[in-house]
Amino acid sequence: MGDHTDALGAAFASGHADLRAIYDAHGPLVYAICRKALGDDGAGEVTQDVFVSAWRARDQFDPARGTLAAWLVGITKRRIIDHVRRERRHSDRRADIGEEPSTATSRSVTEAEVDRVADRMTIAHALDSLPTRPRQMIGLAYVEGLTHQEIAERTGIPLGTIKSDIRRGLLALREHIGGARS
Amino acid sequence: MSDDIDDIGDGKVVPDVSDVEALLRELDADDLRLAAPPESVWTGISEAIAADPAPVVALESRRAHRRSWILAAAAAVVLIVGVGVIAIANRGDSDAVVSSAVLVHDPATFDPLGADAAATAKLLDRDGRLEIELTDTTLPSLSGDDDLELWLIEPDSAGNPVDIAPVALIEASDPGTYRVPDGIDPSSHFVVDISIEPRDGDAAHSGRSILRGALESE
Repeated sequence: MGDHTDALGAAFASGHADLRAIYDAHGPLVYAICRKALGDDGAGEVTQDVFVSAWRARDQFDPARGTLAAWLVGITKRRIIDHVRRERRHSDRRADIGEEPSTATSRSVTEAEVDRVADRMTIAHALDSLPTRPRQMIGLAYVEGLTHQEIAERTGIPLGTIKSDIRRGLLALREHIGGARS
Repeated sequence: MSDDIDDIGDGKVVPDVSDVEALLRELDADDLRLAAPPESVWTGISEAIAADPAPVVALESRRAHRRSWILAAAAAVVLIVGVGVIAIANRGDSDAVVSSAVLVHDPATFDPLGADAAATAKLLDRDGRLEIELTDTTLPSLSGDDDLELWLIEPDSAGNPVDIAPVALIEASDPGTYRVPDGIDPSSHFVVDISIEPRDGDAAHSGRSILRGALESE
């Protein structure tokens, strides 16, 4: 991510950041992962758990080992799995004593699915940090599925510029998601 | 598109770009609208952290707070040397410890991967929020296919498990503190257990415990 979030990570590691700034920068990513994995019912609760856990364990964050976003995503994935297991356990209890399963129970999700969701949302978050034109070019190419020629015809931007923007954007995204997996 | 992407990096091999492309193709328009969490989430975070011994302030302020503790303690006790005072100032929540357990390994029945494992579990009450804190831990490093998991067990009068409730997955390098799940009463589920759990999608206890101990009041 950009300089702002890098600076936040360094400040967090040294104890000089306030949690609200961390939350404002990374809350949408954590919440998006939770929401995609669990649905609306559990997303808020797990997001809350992630930031409370992160704050309490802030002494453990080491920016030399990865970005703050990556660290938070790791906590998020573990908390989602915890939540799913807890919900499943509670559902089993209700079944054991003959109660109807709660309609609020989060849907089941595997660890592999959580990993995939986290990667998707991490790259969506990273995409949001790119400069406007590469972000738009990559969106048109990969989300809307246009060819480079079609993008050129739609936007009037030269083909070489489009290729260059997409190339730089992809390399930036690759670097980001590599950090997020560290 | 992939034909156009092959020359990314000007001929260099960039193996991860295909991963990036694959992920981008999975995105839909909704994914690109990352919404801020509802305000109630921040309210919940603030309230949870407000109950902590350490307030949500920058380190300089916390250090100042610690210094005031140290000065006050020193004045009252005449002279207490640094390390002990810092330990008191850092701890600060001893009143919140409800019970604790020294977790031990049973070589006869537990998984041998935990033969050298050790930990102390403390049940904390932070303004009604119950948490298990693991300290003095020596936990095994596992392969990528296994996790450590913390459980609370309700035993019968003979000590046999009646109910086993999952608490959380544990980071061996960062054991930390874990919230007791809603609906679990540690006065009945008072046995703390740490097990090795394969990533097989089965939420039940694997039977591969490495440490266990009963919570006893302080």
